[in-house]
Formats: sequence, C-alpha cells, structure tokens
Amino acid sequence: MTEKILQVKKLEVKYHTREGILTAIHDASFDVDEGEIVGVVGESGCGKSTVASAVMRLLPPNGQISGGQMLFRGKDLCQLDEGGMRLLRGKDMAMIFQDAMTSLNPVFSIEQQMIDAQKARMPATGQKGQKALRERAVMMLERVGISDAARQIKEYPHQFSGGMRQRIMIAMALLSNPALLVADEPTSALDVTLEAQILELIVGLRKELGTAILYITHDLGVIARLCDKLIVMYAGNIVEYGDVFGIFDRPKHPYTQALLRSHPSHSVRADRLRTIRGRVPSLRELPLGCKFAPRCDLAGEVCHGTEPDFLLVDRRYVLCHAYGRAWGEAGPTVTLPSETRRPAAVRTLERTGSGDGVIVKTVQVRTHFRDHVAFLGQVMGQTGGTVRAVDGVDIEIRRGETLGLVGESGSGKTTLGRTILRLLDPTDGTVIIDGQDITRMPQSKLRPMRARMQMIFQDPFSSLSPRMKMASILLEPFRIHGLPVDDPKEKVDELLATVGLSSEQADKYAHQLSGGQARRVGIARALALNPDILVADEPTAGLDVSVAAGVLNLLKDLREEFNLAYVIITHNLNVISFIADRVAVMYLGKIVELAEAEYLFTQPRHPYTEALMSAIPIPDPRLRDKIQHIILEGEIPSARNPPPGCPFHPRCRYAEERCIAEVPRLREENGSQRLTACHFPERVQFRLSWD
Amino acid sequence: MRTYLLKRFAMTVLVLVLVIVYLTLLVHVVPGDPAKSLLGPRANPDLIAKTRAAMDLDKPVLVQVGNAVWKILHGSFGTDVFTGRSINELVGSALPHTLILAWVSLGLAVVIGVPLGVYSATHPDSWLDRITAVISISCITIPSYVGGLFLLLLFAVKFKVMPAIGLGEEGNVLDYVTHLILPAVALAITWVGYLARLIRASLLEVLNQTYIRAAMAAGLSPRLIFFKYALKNALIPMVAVLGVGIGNLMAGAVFVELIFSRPGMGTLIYNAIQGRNFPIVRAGVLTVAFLFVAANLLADLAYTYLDPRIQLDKVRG
Repeated sequence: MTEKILQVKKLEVKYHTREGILTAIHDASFDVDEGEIVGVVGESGCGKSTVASAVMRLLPPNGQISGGQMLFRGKDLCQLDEGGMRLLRGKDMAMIFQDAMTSLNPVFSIEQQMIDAQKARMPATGQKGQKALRERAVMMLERVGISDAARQIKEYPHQFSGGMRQRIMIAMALLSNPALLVADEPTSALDVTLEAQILELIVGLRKELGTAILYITHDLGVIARLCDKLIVMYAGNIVEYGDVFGIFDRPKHPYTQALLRSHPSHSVRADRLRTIRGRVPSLRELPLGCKFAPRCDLAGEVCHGTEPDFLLVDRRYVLCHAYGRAWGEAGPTVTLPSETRRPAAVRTLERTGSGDGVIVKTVQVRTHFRDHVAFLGQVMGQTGGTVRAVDGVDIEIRRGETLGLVGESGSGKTTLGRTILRLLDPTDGTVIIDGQDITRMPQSKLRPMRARMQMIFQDPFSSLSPRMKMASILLEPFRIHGLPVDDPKEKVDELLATVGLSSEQADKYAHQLSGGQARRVGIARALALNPDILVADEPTAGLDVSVAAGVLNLLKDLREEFNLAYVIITHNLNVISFIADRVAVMYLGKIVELAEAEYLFTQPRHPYTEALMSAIPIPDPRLRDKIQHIILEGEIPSARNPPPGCPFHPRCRYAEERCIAEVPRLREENGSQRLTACHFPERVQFRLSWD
Repeated sequence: MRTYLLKRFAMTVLVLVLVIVYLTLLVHVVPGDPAKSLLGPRANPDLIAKTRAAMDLDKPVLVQVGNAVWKILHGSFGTDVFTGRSINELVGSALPHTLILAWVSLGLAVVIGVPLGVYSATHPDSWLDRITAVISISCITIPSYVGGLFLLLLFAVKFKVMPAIGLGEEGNVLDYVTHLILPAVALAITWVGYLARLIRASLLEVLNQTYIRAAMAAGLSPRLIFFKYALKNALIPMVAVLGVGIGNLMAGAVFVELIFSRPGMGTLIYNAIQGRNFPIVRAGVLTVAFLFVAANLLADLAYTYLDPRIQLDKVRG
C-alpha cells in the first residue's frame, strides 16, 4: 500500500489586513500519496498559491493557519514550531517557484547556493565534507540536464537562461530527495517547448525518485499531461477533487465544467469559446451560500442562501448543491454539452474590396539591431554585433483575415509586428499597406496612415496612462489626429459598449480596472479610429482562462463586424488555433512555415512546427500517452550569430549535412497552398488525431 | 577587466586634463590682473612683472594652458610665489588631514547608518523603526556646517568636554583623535540618516524577492538568509551612492575644516581664494577632482565584486 505523504484536513487560512480578517482558504481537505502528482487549478485569486505556501508554512507575515490539520507522514505541520518546520523544509519537503529568473540569488554562484542548501541540514566539516556536498550538487545538476555541470556550477544565475534556471531550481529542490515537492506554477513563464522539457523532466524524476508532487497551475493542459489527481479551487474553496481522468471526462461542478469549456484548444475548434460571466469575487465581498452561485447558470434559491456540503459523488468530492439532498433526488443533472471535438470548417474569406483584398504586404523585410558602442569603445576599435531580429520575411494579409505569428521568445515575432506598423524602421525590404509603400514614408505622410493601423500592446496596464481616466484615454486618438468628436460622452460610451464594458468605466483610472477590463480598454482605444489593421501582441497573456476566452471571442466578433485584418502575435498555440485563419511560424527572424491554421495544427510540415505542435499541453488526459511528445533539445540560439544553413538544424532531429550547408527557401509544395522552409518536409510524420 | 581599467584610466586622465585647462583659463575670467590682486595694491611694477613671469601670465594663453597641463602631468604644481615653497609640499601636508577626516566620517556613517537601516528593515513599522525614521530624516536635513557649529557650541564651549579647534598637539595620537571627533561627527550626520534610509529601502525590497522565499523553502537558517543572502544584495545600491558621496563629503569638509580651524584641503583652498593665489587654488581643486574620480572608480570595482551580473568590460547591447 502506498504511504500517505500529506493529509490536509479542514485547512483554514486567514489574512489579517487593513480591511479586517479575510478567509483565504476555507475547509480544504485533500491527500497526496507517495509518488503521486496532485494538481491544483483555478483562476487567480482562488487560493491556489496560498495552499502551496500554507503546506510549506511559508505564508506571508499577515497570513495565519487558523484551523485544521496538515499531517505530513502523520506529523501535524500546524503544531510544529518554526525550528521544527525548518528541519523538514529542504529535507523532506521542497518547493519550486514560478519565476525561475528571480528565485535564484543573483550574487552567489550556483555552487555556493547548492552547498548552503545542503549545509542547512547536515553541517559539513572540513574540506572532505565540502567536496562531498559539491559532488552531490554536480550529480543533481547532471540529472536535470545541465551539461558540463562540474564547470557550470561555478557560474552565476544570470549566466543561465530561464529554462536552465528552472532546471537548477528543481535540482536544488531535489538535492535531499524530498518526499514532497510543492511546485508553484513552475512552467508558466516558459515557452511551450521549454515547458515540455520541464514537464518531461518532472515526470521522469517522479518515476525515478518517487517524489510526491503538489502541482499548482492555471493551465488545464499541463494538468492533463501531468497529474493523477486534481483539486479545483474557487474563491478559497475546493469545489471538486478527484481522479484527473474522471474530472476531465465528466466534470461535475459547474465551475469545473465552465473552466474546461472556456479553454481554447486546437483539438476543439469551436466558433466561440464559452466564458464564465462575472469574475472571481474578492475575498472582501464573498457571497453568501455557494461562492460560485452568482456566476452559475444552474444556481437556485438554495445556492444563494446556504453553503453547500462537500459531497462524495462517484468516488469524487464535489462542493455543489446539485448533488445534495437540497435539490431532492431528482435534482437537475449537470452535463457537459456535447459540442466538443468538432473540427470547424475552414472560413471562406471575403475577397472583395480593392484588388485582391491584400491590405498588408511585406517583401523581404529585415529589421536588424546594432549594438551601441560608446565613443571610447569606438576609438579603441570595438565594433558591436548585429541582432537579426527579422531577417527576410514575406507575408500578405487580406481584409478580414487573421494571421497568427507564433514562435518561441526570441524568434522575432514582436519585432515583425512592430515593423509592419512602422513602429520600428526596417533595415531593408518593403512594407506595403493597402497599396502604399510605407517603408521610407516621412512621418508627416505616415501620420494619417497611422489611424488605419493600430496596435494592442502586451501589457494592458503599462500601455494605459495611470493618470488619465478611461474617457480621456479613449478620446486621445481623436485628439492626436485632430479629428473633431461631436459628442465625446456618447463616443466613449459607444466604444466601451463595443468591447463589452459598461459606461461606468469611463470615469475610472487604470488601476481600478481588472486585467481583462484593461485589455478591453486597450482594444477599444485601438478601434476608436476605425482601423483596417490591428496588430495584437499576446492579447491574452496574463489573463485567466475564462477572461481570456472573453477577449478572444470579442476579437473574433469585432473582426466579423468591421472586416478587420489581424496580426495576432502569441506563443500560446491554443489561442492561435482558435482565432487564426493562417499561421506563420517564425524561427530566428525567418518564417519556417506558413499555412492554413487547420492544416498546420493537424499536419505540420516543418520539424520546428512539429515540435511546437506536439509540445502544446492539450486539456485531455487521455491524449497524454497517445500523442508523440517530441522534445526539442536546447534552446533557441541568439539572433546575434545564427547557425549557418538552416537556422533550425542544430535542434532538428531530421537534419543532414545539406541542412548545414544550404539555407532552405520558403517554398510551396506542389499546389498545397502551404509554404515550408525545409529540405526534407516529407520526413515530418506527426499527425494529431482526436479519436 | 584590463580593457575596462585601461578605458577608465584614459577617461580619468582626460577629465583631469580638462579640469587643468578650465582652472588655468579661470584666471582670465576673474576680473583684474591676477598678479596684481595677489600682490596687493601697493606692489611695485617690477615685482608684478616678475610674478607674472613666474605665473606664466606673460605668455600667450594657449602656451599657458599647455605648460600647465605638461607640468602637472609630470607631477609638479609649481612654486608658491609668496612662500617660495613648492605647492606639492603645501598640498601634501594638507591632504592627509582631509583624507582622514573624510574616511573617518564615512566610516562613522556606515557603522551607525547601516545597523540603523538593518534594524528598521527587520522591524518595519515598529516604534523603533518610526523613531529611526524621524532621526534619519532629521539627520539628512542638517548640513555639516550647521551640525558643526552646534557640536562646537555644545561640547566645546558649553560643556567643555571636547577640544574646539585645531589638530591637537603634534605627535600625540590621542590628542589628534579627540580633535577629530567633533568634525567627523558633524560631517557624518547627514550620511548616517541617508544610509539608514537607503539600507532600509533596499533591504525591504530584497527581502520580498522570490530568492529569499526560495532560501526559506530550502530550510536555510534565518541568520544565514539575512546576513548572507539578503544583505549582500542590499549593499549594492549603497556602494553606488558612496562613490558619488565622496565628492559631497569633500565639499562638506571645506566648511567643517573652516569651523574647526583644521588644516586641510578645505582650509588651503579657502585661504588661497581669499589671497587670490590662483596656482594654489588650481592645485587644490585638481587634487579634490582626482580624489573624486578615483573614488568613483573604486566604487565601480567594488560593484563587480558584489554583483557578478555587472561585467565591466563587456559592450552593452
């Protein structure tokens, strides 16, 4: 029988704040068994991270465990004093954090930090002890895939990339072979290919070391790929808890169902994503009764009045009245609508309007950045390098069409997006907007064009002035272009209504908005002057699934309504699959594949696309072993000195000598309407099928 | 690293040459004949001509500048026309007193200011933290000449526990130290407050970083986390401020030396200005400028030691 590593019983956590005492976790009970991965999922503010911190007893100073038990191998963690807790931390239980960039101390070498971590539990005496600790650290680094660990251990954190740092964090956490690993969103900040590497590493280490893992994430795809059991949290409560296959197959709680439905996925090509109305209540204003009732389609009188009980239904715990006696035996059965897994028809594009409807065209566009060399450096003969961020790109976008730009960080997708709008000046090549060459157009002539091409920026908050009310932010485009507005108030209301916001928002400042609202204001501002082209940089980054779903639906509706041409830049392939007509895959400043979204996702032709597609975490646990996971080795090289020949060849599993010698041209395979830059596209065998 | 040092050295020389040129030209900007104002109204024309020759004033301006740069780069400030002593000697006898004063003040500021800041950061919003805040901000607002006067009046005049002026008896170390206390404290007061606030702010920021939480999760002892993992990070901004602060300290030293009648660079430059003795002004200001540049270089080097992310010889992207 497997040992129960962690048993949490009726855990309650409170925060002491200026507004009074807030209950962050209410009545949470779950188990983590030996060698088991238990996922915790929910939107921001639902208490996932608080659970992680509570288990490690690392709550912020104003947080307090106010009730319940946490039995770690039978010992109640809540009763331990700080000293006793410290003996467990780092030895029997360890933790890894979301942001690998900041979770290693920047001013000490990896070696120093890994030795200190070990010394905390077994004081090493003399040189021999020190050497043993060092050897163990090197061994652990090798195990997580740090090459040449004996040398690399001397380096400092900034000398490693984000993915490597997360590996080092994992190595550090596993130094003492802990029984429990608490992982707080360890891959959320990483590219999909790196995420796949880390997930593979975690799965492997679990198998090898038998570590039990409590895995916090907002990504249902990661849960489906990794976990055995799942805890769904909402507003500080566990609303559903049980076997991961069961929950994905037949989610019982309305929140779980809504969450699963709002997740965009390329295996579920729906026309619209389901959203959850309203938003997660703040802890200050929790509703009476069931916390989810105000957003629940099934909520009845009883839901608003009394708190539901945690019920055991079909070997699964659900916190919902629908399964209790309150509704009576013949209560409404909650079922998942059966509209899933339907490949959507390829949208036929309107090819009317001027000419062939091409509104954006680039010809061999290059945008290079030169290093700045200071005066004295120049005198002493230093020359800077060149970063080839965009290196010869041809694209065409028609009216009403959406082009997705995907690729890992550093592939040049954002630079291309900005170059199209001439927010950056191209080094070479031509950018044509609606028949006019804007490549070298003077600012005075470009200015009126700007009204027609708008950008939605990645960080909605830093792109909205904190000192302006939303009304003046939305009227600013008119001021800039000197266009009169007859009735400013009406115009603002109209714009807010277009993006689904109420007119009350007009008097607010940016900090008073939620992430989703701020994003919508950003979209409204971009739409103010009726543009033809919208470039959106990571439109859903940092948003919760259900909020992101709302934004994506909005973008889709606006496209239909105004016949907009979109360029959507994202590293989230699930987003692209939902909204894009065609997708351009970028690698080191070049397009390596360009095809209709439908084909690209099901039958990639370029090895890089293949690896990207196979790395997408699909929110369906049954596919976890069916899909071939192609793990890309290493990371994207620097655009400062790209590899010769095909830029992808060092990471490509099909590469041959020809790939090193000859740069493959982006070409159409006989009549297939898809472009691939690969010498051996026929070798790519990856197929995604959902049967 | 070597490229960087070479570059910095070239930069230092460039700055110093520019300062020399500027100081040499300054003589011509001030109204009146420098030699005349130096010798006073009743000097005879013969002596004036001789002095002008000694000060190079009879030559074309470009030659004056060139000569000055040439001589000073070869280590000679020339001879004082009044005393006939070499100016190098004058600077040499004044400089150590100022250096000692500046470094002792700086040391005092660090020794008092850093623990105050550390305490405030570890006990935020405690009543001691609030008192420290009041003290720190009061300290920042007291200029050294006000603090100096107060200390002088209080401890030397009223209570008579401290010597008021001068350096103390020659060769008597204890006497030298007691004479140093009041001026050093006067100079350090501003910096105590400033450093305390700075350390508090940067420590609080560092303690909120994920790597501190990660260190806690790894089971490291709170002492190790605080004194090793947090403090080293928190000291980085302090070093930057101290580098620039040396210049500030030198300026403060001028006042403090005058108030306490201590020989030193401040007194030397002040008296030279009073007597319109331009060669000495030039030598004094140049020495202070050199110290300022050198202190900044030291601070930058200390940086690399504290923060491995800073690579001085790399071209920044």
